Amino acid sequence: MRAQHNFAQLMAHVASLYCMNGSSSLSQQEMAELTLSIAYTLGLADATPEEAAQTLSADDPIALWHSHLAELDCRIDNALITWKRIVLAMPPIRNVALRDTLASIGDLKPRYDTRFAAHAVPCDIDYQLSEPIDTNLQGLDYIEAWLAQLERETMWIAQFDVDSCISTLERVCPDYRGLHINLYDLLSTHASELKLKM
Amino acid sequence: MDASPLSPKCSSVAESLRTIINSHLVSAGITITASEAADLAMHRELCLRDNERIEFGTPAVVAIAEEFAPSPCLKTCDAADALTRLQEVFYRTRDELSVEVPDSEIIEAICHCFDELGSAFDVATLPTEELMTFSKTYQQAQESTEEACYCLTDDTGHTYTFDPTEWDYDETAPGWNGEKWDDDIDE
Repeated sequence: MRAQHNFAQLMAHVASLYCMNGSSSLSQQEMAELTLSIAYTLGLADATPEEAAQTLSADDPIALWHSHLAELDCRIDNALITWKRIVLAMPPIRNVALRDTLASIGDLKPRYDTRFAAHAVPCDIDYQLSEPIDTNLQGLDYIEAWLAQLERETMWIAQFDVDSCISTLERVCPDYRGLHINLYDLLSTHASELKLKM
Repeated sequence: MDASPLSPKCSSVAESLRTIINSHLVSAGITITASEAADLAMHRELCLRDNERIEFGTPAVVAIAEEFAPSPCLKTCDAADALTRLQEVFYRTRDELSVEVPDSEIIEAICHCFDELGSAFDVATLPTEELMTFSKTYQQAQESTEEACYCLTDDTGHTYTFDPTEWDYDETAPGWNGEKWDDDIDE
């Protein structure tokens, strides 16, 4: 009962913020999106009913939401640290989809609406990874998993001489720059032809 | 209105509505009965369901009653019936406008329109675009939004404006700030 009351209180608070305290109602669709956002922020998306009730029985549900928002902000900062590591390590193999995807993720902070759409993946992900990420992951979970996978691929590619990578790619896939390909997949199948960095 | 009993939640809303609305209408010497409040509460439920909306704050009809109370047309109409029709207009209009338009501008339009036309029935026949012309605040906000769309200030502080009504899709027409296209042609 207390959990239900707290959730209703939190929904009303977030809905008021969403409409800038200017309205007393929202469309069902907007409310559904806000509900998903709050559920994701509080970590309730995969919780059992008992776990959810325990979380929502906090003394101050609004303060709880704000503290979870602050945690999301920390995770965003850490994701960007991972992103920077990848950008610095990635050899200059100019694939357009990879370039555009990394540029989009680099804009994570202004793009990610943690208050009203925390469950949405905020970036344009065009580059295809060698192992696809679970599409059931939401929001920052997806971005973190995506970056972790790309970091593994990047670190493998980065051990090789970039000229040997490029010459191998030009031979096996002349349009490697424009196509939606995965660089790791292409290079790993020709690993014996690549020169390790000195 | 259907005579079936109200749900406990609806009964509670009806009682609250009667108390608050009457507190606003008392200055006009008008009150609504418990039965009329029950009808208003049920009608509110229907409007929310039909427009697929969820109300999390004070029911809009309360704000309508507050704005509506000083109306000179109030004495010549059935207040409960007028509130019911205006409530319906509100939720229909609310659903058509973006969340950036506050309830207060919609209610301002509805009540000013009611004062002008004298009949809630006539207010209900107006399309949203025409109804909102009765809200001065909304019109001012729209004008400033339109101006902002076509106004740009660069780093030096120079402001460029563009009047879409003068756009004639002519390649030789003056561009931003009166610069002509042939200024770019190399001699």
